[in-house]
Amino acid sequence: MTTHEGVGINVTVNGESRDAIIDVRETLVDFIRVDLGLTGTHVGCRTGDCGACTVTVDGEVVKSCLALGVSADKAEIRTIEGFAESSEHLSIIQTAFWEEFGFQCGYCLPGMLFCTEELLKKNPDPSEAEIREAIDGNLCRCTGYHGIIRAVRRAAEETSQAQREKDELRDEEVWARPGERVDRALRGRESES
Amino acid sequence: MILDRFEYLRPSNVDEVVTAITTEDEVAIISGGTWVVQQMGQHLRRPKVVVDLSAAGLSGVSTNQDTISIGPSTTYTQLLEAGDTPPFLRKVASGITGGIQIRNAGTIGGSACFAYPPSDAPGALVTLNATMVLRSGDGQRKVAATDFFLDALTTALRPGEFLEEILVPIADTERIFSYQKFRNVTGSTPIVTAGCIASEDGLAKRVVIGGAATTPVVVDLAGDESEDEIADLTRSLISHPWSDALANANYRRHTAGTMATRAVRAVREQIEGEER
Repeated sequence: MTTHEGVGINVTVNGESRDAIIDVRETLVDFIRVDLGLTGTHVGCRTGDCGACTVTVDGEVVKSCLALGVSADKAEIRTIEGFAESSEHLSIIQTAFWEEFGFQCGYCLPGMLFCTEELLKKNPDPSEAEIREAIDGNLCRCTGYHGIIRAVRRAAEETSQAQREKDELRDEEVWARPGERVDRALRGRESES
Repeated sequence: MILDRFEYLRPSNVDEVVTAITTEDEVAIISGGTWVVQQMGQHLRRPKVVVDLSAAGLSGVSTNQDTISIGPSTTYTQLLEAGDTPPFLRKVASGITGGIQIRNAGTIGGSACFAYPPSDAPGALVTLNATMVLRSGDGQRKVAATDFFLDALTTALRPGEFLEEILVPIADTERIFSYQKFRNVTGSTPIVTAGCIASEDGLAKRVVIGGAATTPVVVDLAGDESEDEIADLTRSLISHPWSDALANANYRRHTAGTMATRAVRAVREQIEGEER
């Protein structure tokens, strides 16, 4: 690919395919905010310090002020607008931030939420030190971080709880299948003897 | 939006990279973009051509006989996840400034080529005795990491040349090591780093200091020095000190001595622990 400006790219943003003509001088955050109109991705520093412009590109959590928009051609992008599964309900992580006063102005939320999601994917039961490490690429000027730490803990607990409930439901489904029921009953008897 | 116009190229293999960077115009090579894109945004760098290596197949870690080969576009997260990453480099990658987002985008080769004195990569590659494989239209040449870093933000790379591969001798990667880093807070740039990998005969004989000088400083030891001697020697070797808003030259020089002793102490303690 070679061009000075005005190059056609295609990206999938929050599940929706979008074609765009992009100036190669646009950073990814400018493309997302100006061209796509998704202003939930914020601009704080443009130097990679604050994390307010955080999005995911092909599943990787990154700071969009440090990338060129044109480099994201053919990529799958998720912004804060696509964080919850539906626009009607907040996700578990968002609810936890809401309940624990994990934000005030909300400017840092893209970084805080995506980093929390990334942390919980790899570590469902993080310690306070691990939480602090996971959010260390983000600056919050309102909360003093205490509410954020509590929110991530709460999100971890509620994610695990939701997972347990899902597992129990699946167990019940399995239980309902006649063949499985016999297996379970036999296994139960073996362990008793 | 970056003000100055440039041509954007995204080559898909090494030969295309060579073609792309062989030009009279000023070229900026990006991979993760974490340094160069923000510099362009601030008009600190105004290249006519931007060559994006992210699709050129230059990432990954593999072992070939007695060396570990690291692609320059390997991100810190990829280093953490790859099975062949030297343990020392894994330790370095886990503490990169800027959080998950920077570890996912920033690359080891990009940081090396940017040669920002307080960054972890220059000192880490010198500690590992790495060899930098440079490629241009004239072919390949190999430069030891100690000779690659010429000055702050300056490397041995010539116009029309790019970093194709980083080679790390495997023998150095399996021994006891220590990596000590001093910074004001977790999220700030390092002030001084100190890396030490035990020698073949099981002693702490070589400490590499990053952040205190414009390029990594190698402190060669006999192995039996006292901690005060190590600190004094280290401080005396900082001939071209680095200074910035976070810490001035004197502070960095002093801290370098302290961090060198900590690195050596940590290695010695591990060695003693093994002998016991």
